[in-house]
Amino acid sequence: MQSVLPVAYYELGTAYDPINLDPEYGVFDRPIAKHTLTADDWEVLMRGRDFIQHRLSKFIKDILSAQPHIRSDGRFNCHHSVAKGLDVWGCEHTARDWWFVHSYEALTNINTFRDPLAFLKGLSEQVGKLELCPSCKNWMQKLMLLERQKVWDTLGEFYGIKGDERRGSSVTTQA
Amino acid sequence: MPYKKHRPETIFAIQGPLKLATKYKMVSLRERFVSMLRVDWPSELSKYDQRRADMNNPSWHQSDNHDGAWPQLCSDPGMPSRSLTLDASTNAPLS
Repeated sequence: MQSVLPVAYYELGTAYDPINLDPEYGVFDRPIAKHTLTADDWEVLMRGRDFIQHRLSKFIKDILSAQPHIRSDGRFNCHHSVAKGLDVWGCEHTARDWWFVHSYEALTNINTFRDPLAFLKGLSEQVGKLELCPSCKNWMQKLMLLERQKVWDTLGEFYGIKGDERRGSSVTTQA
Repeated sequence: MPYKKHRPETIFAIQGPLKLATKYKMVSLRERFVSMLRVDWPSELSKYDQRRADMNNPSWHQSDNHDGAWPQLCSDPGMPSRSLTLDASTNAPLS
């Protein structure tokens, strides 16, 4: 039963608030009967939401300063940097401009923290449409998907569920 | 014990038997009930994604496997919280 609870709480967190729905992220109207929840249920739910918000806010801020890794020749692992012999990150402006806009939107949008799995999946799909080189696109998508898997693997901790058997399932293989 | 996944009545149907299976330590039967819940609330992200994709796919709701019943789950008021209530009385560890 312990493995079911984190997902059940997560689902509850995505479902209980019928306002501010954003179909782009796959959020749908699925209200629940709040009166069936106990005070302990609410406490667990709120605890989880606080943890998720903290975790995701940190990720959003950290990625503002993230860069692709440096190759052995000292250049960024970016096709533009390598092809043009640049010592700077060739895709930096495109990536940063996009992320600055989305980080602000993300931090002010309630759906970011209500359904982070959908949010991060949506971001990785949007990265696929950016005019980045294949290396940078792949790198950024991996960042999003890796964080998504980490959020999933940590759900039990977020909600304070002891003995969550789902931990450490496939972080590396997913991203 | 045939059943259809993602059905809102599953949780109600197995609640009583699951409590009995736990109380009387019927390990295999209890595990079977729990496995039903695991299908609805999977522990792997890929399976959860598949479930979400199913939910957003109109044709899935009309397939023979689900006889159009799934939308009820989306709007079932008691579904998520019922699982939590259920857990309080069925979480005793079985060796």
